[in-house]
Amino acid sequence: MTSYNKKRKVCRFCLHTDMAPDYKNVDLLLNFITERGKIIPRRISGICAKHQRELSREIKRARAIALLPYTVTGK
Amino acid sequence: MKRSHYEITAILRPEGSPETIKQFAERVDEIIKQYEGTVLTLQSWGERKLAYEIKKNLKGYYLLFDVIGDGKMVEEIERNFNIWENVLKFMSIKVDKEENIDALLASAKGIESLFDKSERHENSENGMNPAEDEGRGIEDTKRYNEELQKSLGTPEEEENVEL
Repeated sequence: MTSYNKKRKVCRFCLHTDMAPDYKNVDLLLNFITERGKIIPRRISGICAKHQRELSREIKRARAIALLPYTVTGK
Repeated sequence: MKRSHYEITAILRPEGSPETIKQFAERVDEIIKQYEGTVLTLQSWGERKLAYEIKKNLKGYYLLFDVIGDGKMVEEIERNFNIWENVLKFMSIKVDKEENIDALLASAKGIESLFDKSERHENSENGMNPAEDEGRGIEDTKRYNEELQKSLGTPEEEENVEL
């Protein structure tokens, strides 16, 4: 069956095997958080389950050393 | 003694001069040597803006120790980090991917990996070792982004020449 509206997303980390999620790689992680600092769910980003687990771990590490924010409030 | 590969990030107070940073690194190195550990590389990311305030500071000086040693050593380093006033925050991570520790030890550069070069150009790219980093560092993102841009095509530069 063909689906008309949905374009199948492929996990970015499975495509580029040399780019693993890493807490030191802030520029990369920034692609996977919202401007509020939340981790983007994988149903939106299209990341596979394995890499989403790694990614969320690395984002949380980056948060711990203030490379990424826990929250961004509109002060 | 069970040796593992650790990455220890320390955020220092930004006011420190290059000497205080060197002093700090040497003190850490001393502890590591006490516990028969080895510093693979020492990287400096320089002064960075913090994503949130830590102890009233908005900026911090980042140092990353790539270390091989045992858990006791990490415990001792963390105990000292808690005492030292110029450490704002720290995080130690055990690198869990498959690695050959003896091969890493053979390529160990010690804390000098940072200070040899830092006299010429103080830069966050110092001490980055592409051979060991296996395509995961900050530099690689830059390269990756550049390649992306190339593949998308950036005609702007050519246009400027013609004008």
